[in-house]
Amino acid sequence: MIMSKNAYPKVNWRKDHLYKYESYESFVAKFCILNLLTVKQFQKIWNRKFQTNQERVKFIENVLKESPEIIKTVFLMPQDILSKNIIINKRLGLKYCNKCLIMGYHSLFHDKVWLEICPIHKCLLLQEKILPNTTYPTITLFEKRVITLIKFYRKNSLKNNNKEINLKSIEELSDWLENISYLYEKYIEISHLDNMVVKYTLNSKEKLFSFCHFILPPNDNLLDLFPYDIGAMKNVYTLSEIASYELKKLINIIPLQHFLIFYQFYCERNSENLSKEFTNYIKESIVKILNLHQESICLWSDKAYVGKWEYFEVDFYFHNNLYKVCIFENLLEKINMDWLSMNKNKKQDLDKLYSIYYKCKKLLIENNMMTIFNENDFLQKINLNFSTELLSFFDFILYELAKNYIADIYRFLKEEVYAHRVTSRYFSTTYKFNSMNRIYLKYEGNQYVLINSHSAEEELNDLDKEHTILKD
Amino acid sequence: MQNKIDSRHPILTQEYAIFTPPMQRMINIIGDWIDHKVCGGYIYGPSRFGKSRTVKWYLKQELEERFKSYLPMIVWIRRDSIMTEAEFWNQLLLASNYDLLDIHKPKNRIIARSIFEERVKTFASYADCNYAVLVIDEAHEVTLKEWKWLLGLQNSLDYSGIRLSVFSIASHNILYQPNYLSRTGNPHIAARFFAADFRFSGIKKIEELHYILQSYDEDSEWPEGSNISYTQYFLPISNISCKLSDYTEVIWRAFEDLFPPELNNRIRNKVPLEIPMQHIALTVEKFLRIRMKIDDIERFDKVDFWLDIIASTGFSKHIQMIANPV
Repeated sequence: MIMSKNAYPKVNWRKDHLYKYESYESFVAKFCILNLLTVKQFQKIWNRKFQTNQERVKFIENVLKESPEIIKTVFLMPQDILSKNIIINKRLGLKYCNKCLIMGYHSLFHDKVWLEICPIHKCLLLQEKILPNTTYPTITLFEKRVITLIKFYRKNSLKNNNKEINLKSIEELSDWLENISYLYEKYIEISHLDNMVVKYTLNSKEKLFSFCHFILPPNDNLLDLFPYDIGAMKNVYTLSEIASYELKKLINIIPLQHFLIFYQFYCERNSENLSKEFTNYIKESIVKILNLHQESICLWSDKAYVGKWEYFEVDFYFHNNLYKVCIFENLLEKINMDWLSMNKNKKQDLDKLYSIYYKCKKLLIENNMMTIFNENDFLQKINLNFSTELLSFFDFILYELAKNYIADIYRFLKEEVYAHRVTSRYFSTTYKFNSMNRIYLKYEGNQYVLINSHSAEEELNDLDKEHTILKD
Repeated sequence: MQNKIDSRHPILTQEYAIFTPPMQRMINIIGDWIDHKVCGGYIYGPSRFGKSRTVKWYLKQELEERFKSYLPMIVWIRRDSIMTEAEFWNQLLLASNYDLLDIHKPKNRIIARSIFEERVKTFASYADCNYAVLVIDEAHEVTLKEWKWLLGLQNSLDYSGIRLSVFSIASHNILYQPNYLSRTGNPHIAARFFAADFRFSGIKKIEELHYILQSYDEDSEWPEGSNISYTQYFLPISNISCKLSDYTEVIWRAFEDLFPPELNNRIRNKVPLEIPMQHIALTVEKFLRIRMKIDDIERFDKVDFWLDIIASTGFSKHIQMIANPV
């Protein structure tokens, strides 16, 4: 017997109609077209018939007779590393490649916010805007996206589904992303204070691409898809093997992020540590920002307060008070609290920072990494039992973090304040700095390497130029 | 002998089929039609000869063996005599084993028709060809309107590059249909769906009967995998093995004797002896049941014994009924 009883699917479908890395919306659109279903009907049937994703996959494999290899790329694809690291506030619409749609194909990559060029045809991806529907408010965004695809497919594609689609570049892209997500895990991301989870914004995606380029350079075929500066990432410090061993031991006990918080407190408490490189850098930056403060930019000098800016300036009054906030003074206060006097930090959750500090202290003592002198004294002195190289490495990390931090402030001034985007009165709580410049630590061949994506000087110089123009 | 007869045995439930030479001829002719991409043909023959059993048990499998590939075939048994278009397409969808059809909420005619069209394309697609076959059993019930709907479907599929062949299986009263259709202004339907024909005959030769009885003795099996043929399952009390095929001659003579005498006298030349498969099956089934209770196997060699069994199956009356319309 050649054929089993159920050789033909019990629903309408075409043999090998599912392509590798096809979007779920595309599958649904094809299914709806062939079975004359509405998207709502499809969802109802689909959810009633199958409880789990596994059951769905089984159905597609056994009934629609699609190959497991293809099914895996459509229904069991994990979120890619780029989408994971980019904040997506809302999905604007359906992105597609017109040439692919004509061939009956819409890839899940086409719809990614970070992709602008079709990997197959190397043409710009188009976007179908899906506006909120007030007439039929019950239609979900997913339904709208599928309906849009159905319209496209009805127009042209399903007639021409015999055409072979060359999915080589899509496969390459997927492999590249998979490799990167594997390599990405080897990097420890370091941020300032406790800002642990900070994703890239769409505007800063170039930084993320640069980092991906740095981790694993894509082949020439994929280079067109990510035409971004790839020189931004730099190995800034390579720790010696002995110090790396010390650091590894430390990281096994305490997360590096937490240790850096502890270390910042430690530097602040030990007066001899006050003239560290990073503190000097912060102090210099404060002076620079202070110099940038001027009437034409300061929001405090809006129409309602014409003339008062100078008045208060002369009388040495601070612009900040309970009712009115000056961006520059607020920024200076923030920098001061984050870097120079953390005890006064109101913006960060100080309790949390302190609990981290004490936890670290306890763990360090237990593991003989720290010694306390004058234990009973109120002004007890602590000493870290690390090599000089490692200690200076911590300073260096903080220095790099400080550079990134200041760069973010400059970016804010440039993009928001100088561009006059901040129209209403500024309150410190309304703006959060999303760091675009990341610092990563990588363990490679028994050595730790510090990598920074930031080039602070450029941004600072840009602002200085702008400043001079304004002054003139 | 089996200690206890299982009531699920096919001989008792009559859920089985024995492959016969006429079945082989019918399958061969449909295979040839598929080879030549004939757009429509009909197979006719008196009722109870085994046409439907051929379709149900053997047609698809045997043709797949012949073509060494999947056969895109939908078998529809035309049940009701009155049907709307929506019902018609819904019935076809059910016949095609369509899973998304809720029998309580049948689809409207336009949707059902489009889905069925896609269904045919699905079948063709999964068979890697541009060809599909629709077999309609009890096709004598199909009305002119329904032929027209099928014609429309065939045309639109043709436009999409899919060839649909419609093969009708019907009793011999379908014979008048091509003539009737062409005389009533529908010659295109006659030309499309009645382009070829084949008469499904009964068992005409003693060799054929012998072949069938041998199948009971050797080629049948129940339970599956047990290697016990139907004849072996119903062994007599004495446990003496006696094969059905040993009685071929005496059975054949009994059938000949029971052939209605009036047909012999008046129109003998027109009506040759043709045994419906059903009466052979009923005879065998009855014999197997009786044999279990009888020790004296010599009785089975006598014609009178077989005459009694065959007469109880209503053979003579059936032949009279089916012979008259011809």
